[in-house]
Amino acid sequence: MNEQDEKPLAVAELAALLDRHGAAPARWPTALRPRAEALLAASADARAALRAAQRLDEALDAVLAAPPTAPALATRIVARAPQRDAWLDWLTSRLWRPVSLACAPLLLGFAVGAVAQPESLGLEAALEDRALAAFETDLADYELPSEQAMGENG
Amino acid sequence: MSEGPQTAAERVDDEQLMARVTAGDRDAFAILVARHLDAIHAFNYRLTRNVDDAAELAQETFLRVWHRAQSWRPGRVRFATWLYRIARNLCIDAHRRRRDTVPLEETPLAAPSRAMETAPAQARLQTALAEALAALPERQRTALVLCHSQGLSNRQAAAVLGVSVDALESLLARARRTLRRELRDVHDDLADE
Repeated sequence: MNEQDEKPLAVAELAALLDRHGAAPARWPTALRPRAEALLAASADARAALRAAQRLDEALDAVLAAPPTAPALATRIVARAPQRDAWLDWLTSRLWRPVSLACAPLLLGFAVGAVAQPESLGLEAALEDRALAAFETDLADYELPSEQAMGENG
Repeated sequence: MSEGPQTAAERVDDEQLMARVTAGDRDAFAILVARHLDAIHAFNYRLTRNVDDAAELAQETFLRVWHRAQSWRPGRVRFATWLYRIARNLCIDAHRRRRDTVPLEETPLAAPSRAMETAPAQARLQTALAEALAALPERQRTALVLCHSQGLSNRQAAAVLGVSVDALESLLARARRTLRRELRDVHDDLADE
């Protein structure tokens, strides 16, 4: 045990301990308990902090008191648990992962097809428009021989 | 002295019972219900402040255990931790549904305010504390209930909330500081009157 382990806690350290663990020493970390008790024996401020924490704990006990469970509740719960076919449970628990994994690409394909189809049609139309436009541009660049030139040649 | 069946059942730990529940053993399920129902019912009540909700949510919690026993993984999480997680999630869902359908001032968590003006000093303190508890963020309130009222260690409560022990203790510290401040304010008000 080193010197730090034997030194009483500071009041601020005790306050942090009370905030984190409450006022019951049984819930304090074992290593800190003797140091906290040493401080409490020596400091009125520490004792005041402990009293405030105890008041809160007592008030919480009162506010959070729970009513007893209805005697019939346990029976009702067990009665409502339906009979299970253990073999079927085992089978479904073992099969649902591989089956769902196997079906995932198929479902993904359907989903992509359903969602992407209108867009891909739009894309096709856009590509068609661009191809036509390019074709028209090419035609404009291409100079047809004039009739006169044709006559001269012919 | 011969041991009765209850004693033998008490010796079987939760994890062994869950292995049997997974195989559809209703007797094992009944032992788990008997063993944990009071704690889960009290936990639900402390979070919802409503007796009917507490019973209904306890029933729902255990029926989920029965139906989803296959999804529990022994060794990864203790049964009690898993059980508290199910109960907590159901309480959150129930509170959300109630908040969506009932005005906030009508919800059970905030209901004690109606007694404020007429109650004696002690009741006023408790009413103020109940309101302050209800106003805490859910994780702070649940951390406090798990550690202070349900008797879980800080480590166990951290596992239920899925946070580190440091984070859990920070939640507890913030909750306690808020509530202590609230109590002090009410004490001061009472002293002034």
